[in-house]
Amino acid sequence: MQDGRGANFAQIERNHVRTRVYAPFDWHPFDRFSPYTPLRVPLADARVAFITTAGVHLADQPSFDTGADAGDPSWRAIPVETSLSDLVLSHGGYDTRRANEDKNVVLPLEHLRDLRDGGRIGSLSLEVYSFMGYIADTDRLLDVEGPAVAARLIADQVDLVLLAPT
Amino acid sequence: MGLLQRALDEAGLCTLSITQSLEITAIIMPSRALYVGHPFGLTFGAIGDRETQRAVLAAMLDAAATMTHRGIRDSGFEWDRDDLRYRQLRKERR
Repeated sequence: MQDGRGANFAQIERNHVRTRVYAPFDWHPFDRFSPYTPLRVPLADARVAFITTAGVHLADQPSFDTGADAGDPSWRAIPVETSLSDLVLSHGGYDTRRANEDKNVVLPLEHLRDLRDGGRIGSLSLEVYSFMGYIADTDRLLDVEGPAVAARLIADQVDLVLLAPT
Repeated sequence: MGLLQRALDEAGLCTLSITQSLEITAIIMPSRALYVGHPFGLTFGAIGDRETQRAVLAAMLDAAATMTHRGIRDSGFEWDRDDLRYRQLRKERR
């Protein structure tokens, strides 16, 4: 695997954030992988959840704070039957105009429902979850918001969580 | 994304993420990730390219079901339509 023809994006992104947005920023490094829990049921029986960091939300939900230097670790829960036309995007880290034309490029909700209806997966969680991917101050994400979403997914008896960045 | 995945992993959930940056994922080290070389903001493919969007999602499900160890799998999806991803990786605007 080769990333971006030699560009070290982690270094470029770090320098970009530190010089232009949030001077204290640095990556939060780890020296070991996080725990791995295997999928314990066949996909055809699995209850699947989806999380995007594309800054998607319902039009009547609060926008993500794209002006905060340290980012915004909050999240939005979106009912899984929501029409893509009812969703909007607020994210300062990428050009949302493309995804606005076809939200399946960041939140493939229509394809997930097709997979469920076709029996490829067993069911979908009650809600999909959305974050805004620029979160430079990560303590609240790790200590509060992440565990809160995890608790909701566990309560929903989810077997598998798929996560997609932007 | 990787930090959020770590929080879910720590809670005992089965997770599988897409990564669009091998370097960042090597730092954060979430349990299991699938590398997709698409531009940021076009994670699942181009606008209207439902075939690729479905294929990336299918690759996620396949990885979730068959990766029996922690680490990164290469999906083989790359972006050759234009230089958008190349410019994004270098923070170049045009």
